[in-house]
Amino acid sequence: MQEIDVYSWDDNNYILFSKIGRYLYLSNEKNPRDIMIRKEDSNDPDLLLPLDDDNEFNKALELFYNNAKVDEI
Amino acid sequence: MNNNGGIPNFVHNKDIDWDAVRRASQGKTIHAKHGKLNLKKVAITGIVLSVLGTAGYYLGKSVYDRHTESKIIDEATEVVNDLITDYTIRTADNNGFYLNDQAIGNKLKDLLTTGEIDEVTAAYAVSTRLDDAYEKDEMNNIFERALGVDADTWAREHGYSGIDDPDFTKEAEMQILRNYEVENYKKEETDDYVVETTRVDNPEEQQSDELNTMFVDDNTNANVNDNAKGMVGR
Repeated sequence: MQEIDVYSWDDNNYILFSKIGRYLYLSNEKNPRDIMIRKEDSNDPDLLLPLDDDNEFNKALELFYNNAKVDEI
Repeated sequence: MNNNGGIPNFVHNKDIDWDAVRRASQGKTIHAKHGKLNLKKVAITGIVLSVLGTAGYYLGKSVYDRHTESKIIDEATEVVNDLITDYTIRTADNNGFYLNDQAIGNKLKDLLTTGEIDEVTAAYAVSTRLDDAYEKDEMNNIFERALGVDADTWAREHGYSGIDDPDFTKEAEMQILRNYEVENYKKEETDDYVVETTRVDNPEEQQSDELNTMFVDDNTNANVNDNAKGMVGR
């Protein structure tokens, strides 16, 4: 077992499966298809900030695609 | 926790709705409760692997587009880059290099006069190739020879704060891509015109094509008839 970060709201737990820079990559514990990318708020760890637009979404996804290292998990 | 002891089911490529992911990522700020949870390591690995696989699939198009755009820009600026490379000369003591900016500026002016390159592409190519602080004098010398003023003055005359203005870089790249599309459109039009002209210039060829078409049609009809006959015979 491994201790991982989780964000909870509306009776759902979202697992933090990756974090690159400010970007948080989250997956619903009950439904792993339910994925989202958010930005952390450096002042409030409970706030999940939205991405600005499609460009930032593509950028964050590319960042994950290029940097995620499975062997380090 | 899941019934399977906290191991989420693995996700297949087709199962992730990336438009939904994009929308969820851009919604309102979420006020969540941050905590910790114990989960099997394989569960996280599974999610990461699944998302990696599907993300590559989803990103395919945008990565391809970016690659293509960058290739078009490279091709449009190649003539300037080649000039700069050709006139980068080794110093007499072989310890360094210097740019023959006068020759580059003159050659670039010729290219602008003959219309082989437009002003914006030339300014973009020179300023992005010679963007280090120590190359600024050479860049300005090239601008002055080819475009009549130094780089920042040229940029200000075109509505930018200076040659380093990111808006200039972005808009120049867009113009290069637009130029490429216009040229491609013209080329397609010309190709169509050449085909039509060839046909008018060679009426025999056109007639021969028409006969061939008729022959194929006849054969097709014959085959259809044969098949029809065969079917009757069955």
